[in-house]
Amino acid sequence: MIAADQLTYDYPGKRALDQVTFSLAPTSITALVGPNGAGKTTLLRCIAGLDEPYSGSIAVAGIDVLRRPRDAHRQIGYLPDHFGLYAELTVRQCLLYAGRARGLDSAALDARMRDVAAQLDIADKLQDKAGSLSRGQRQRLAIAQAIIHRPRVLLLDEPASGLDPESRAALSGLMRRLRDEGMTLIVSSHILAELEAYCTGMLVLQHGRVVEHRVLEHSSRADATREIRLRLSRPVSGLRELLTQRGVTISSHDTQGARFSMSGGDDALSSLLQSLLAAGLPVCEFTLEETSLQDVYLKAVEDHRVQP
Amino acid sequence: MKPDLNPEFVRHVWLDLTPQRLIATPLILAMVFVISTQLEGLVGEMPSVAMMIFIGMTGLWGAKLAGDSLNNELTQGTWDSQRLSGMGAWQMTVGKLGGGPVFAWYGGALCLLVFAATSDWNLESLRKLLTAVSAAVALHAGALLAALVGWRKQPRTTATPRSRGASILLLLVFAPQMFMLIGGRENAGEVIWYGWHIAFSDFVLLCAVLAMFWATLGLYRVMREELSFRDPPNAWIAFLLFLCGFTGGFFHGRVAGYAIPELSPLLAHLAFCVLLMLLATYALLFGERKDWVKLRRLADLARGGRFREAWEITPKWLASLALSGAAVGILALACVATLPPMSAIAKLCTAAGFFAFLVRDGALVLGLNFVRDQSRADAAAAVYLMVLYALLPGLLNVVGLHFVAAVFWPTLIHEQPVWLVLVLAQAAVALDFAIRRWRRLPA
Repeated sequence: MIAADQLTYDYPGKRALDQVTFSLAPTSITALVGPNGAGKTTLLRCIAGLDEPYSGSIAVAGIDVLRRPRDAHRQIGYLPDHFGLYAELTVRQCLLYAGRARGLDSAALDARMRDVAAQLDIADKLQDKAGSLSRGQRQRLAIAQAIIHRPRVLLLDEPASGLDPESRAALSGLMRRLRDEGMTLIVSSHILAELEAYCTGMLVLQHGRVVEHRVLEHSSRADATREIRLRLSRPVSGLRELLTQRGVTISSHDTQGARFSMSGGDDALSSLLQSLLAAGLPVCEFTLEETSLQDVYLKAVEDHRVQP
Repeated sequence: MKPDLNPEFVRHVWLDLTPQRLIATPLILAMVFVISTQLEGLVGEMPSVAMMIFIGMTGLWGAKLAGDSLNNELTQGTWDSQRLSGMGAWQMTVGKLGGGPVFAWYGGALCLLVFAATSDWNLESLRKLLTAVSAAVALHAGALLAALVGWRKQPRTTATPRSRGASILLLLVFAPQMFMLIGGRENAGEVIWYGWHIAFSDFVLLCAVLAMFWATLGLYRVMREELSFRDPPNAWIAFLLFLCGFTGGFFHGRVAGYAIPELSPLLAHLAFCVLLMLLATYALLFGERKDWVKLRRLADLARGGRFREAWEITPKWLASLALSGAAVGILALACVATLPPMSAIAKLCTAAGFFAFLVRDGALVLGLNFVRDQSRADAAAAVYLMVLYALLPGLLNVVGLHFVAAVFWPTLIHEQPVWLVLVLAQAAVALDFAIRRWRRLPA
């Protein structure tokens, strides 16, 4: 859905993006993360066709953004980090304007406006002026404007900044719903714990380069590899052999516990636990040790910590 | 799309045509017109008053509103959202042009109604009305264009004061002309253009319509660039060529020496075209952003044989520089073909000297811009050019070195053609400076 090839962007005296190449699948939610100044916003602006790169190409929904910017813009919704609203217009007028400007026909516009207002929980604010809204409400209105034309790609730069915890939770739900509706999302944020709740992939930028691009595995998938921690209430000799016989890969162990990895879904996990209990092991803890987004991010950044 | 459905126009109507304004404006204008009937001897007849208010309200204040409407997009942070909208460049141009000054047009329309109702309805009244409307649209388009060009000059976060300044400058330049030309008191007589005798009021209308066309086209082209289209300098070149053709009307069909002593109409026209191109290049050298990353990309594309893509990002100052060179070349050929040898050489060297000075100054401006922080480069270039054109020759004259001072003035090459060598040497030194700075830029 989004493909960048050898994307390079230069500011005078600074290379913001350096040969960035990646491809994102449709209906994915990708967390775009990286230290400050890594090039995240520049990358989003290049994908949106707002800034032209020095070299390379970008395609959104198969459209060459550099050659056919307006066609691409019709497929894109973008919420910049520092967005603006027409403070003197009412919320309703803001949404109607956004819809008309993005080519929605008048017949469907009113219904769509009410639909997104309800989705973003600002339906009761339609007659209020945008300038009178709180920070969180303004954020939601800006997102509503960005999605009113049902874009195929949604780019969000720090969408949760300024939102209270309740609004952030609602935002997570919205992301999943938009993905379910068929949108492909890229979300740039520093709040990794929240990204983890809904992202299906992660793109780590550092010094303008992609240092990590991975699809995040869901623990319920049948072929997923999971790290498990096992703790026993008393020492048991031969624990290593017991575990090895059951096809797991042990990373560390002693007589009272072990860490190991295994492949398989939830059924395989359940069978393993039953088997260990049946073997008479005094299991007091059997825990999935999932690698967090933050761990992956920090490791990627640490591995590539070089001078720019 | 109908104008009333243009989203940008509709947004401005929502913002600017509030019920209070819709009611108050006709009431206030009515009071002004009633008072003016009592002061007829002092302020003129009703049609003149209506036209003057139209010029002031719609033409001039409307231009300010138009410029502000774009500047507000920048300060409110809504411009990127507009750039991402589905509106095309033409739709956006029409929306901004009609929407930004929509309130001024509301008041102006009332004035035009009064003008139409109180005039002796004839061709002259119609001409005046069309001139006023065309000039107002041209000014609005000019103000919007000035705002956009002002933004492009520097980083967006600091662009507003300069773009506002550009709009104000535009108004200061054009306001007196508008009142004089459309006001009705100075429009007698005729203009000789390409040998045709044209009534002055007809000629003013022609100029206003042409200004409206070019200002709107210019706005559309810059809007295209803002909406992420690559935009080669074709329209700019067409505009300069149009100016050459249009101004030719003031030279051809006249006797030799009418415009410039000793020169035939053709040579005088060509000399004027050279001057026009030089001025355009200087204006853009200081008016456009000298983005060296973009220049480097242009050089890479040209080296790689991708000339079409290179042309798409060619800055307008570079296109103007090329046109200046071409104009000098054509003038030189015309001089050689039509003048005695010694006179031709003198004029040829003078034209070449003007171009060499342009190259020198351009190299200086660019060299100073080939740094990471370009924020003060143009100001520094302006100071250095002032030193080269005024202070240094002045100092040399004060100490009695008049002969050396002449080296810094292109017009004096006409008297001493050999001085061209020294001017070329200055251009070479400036080019060397620019090339060295270019090579020192970070990779």
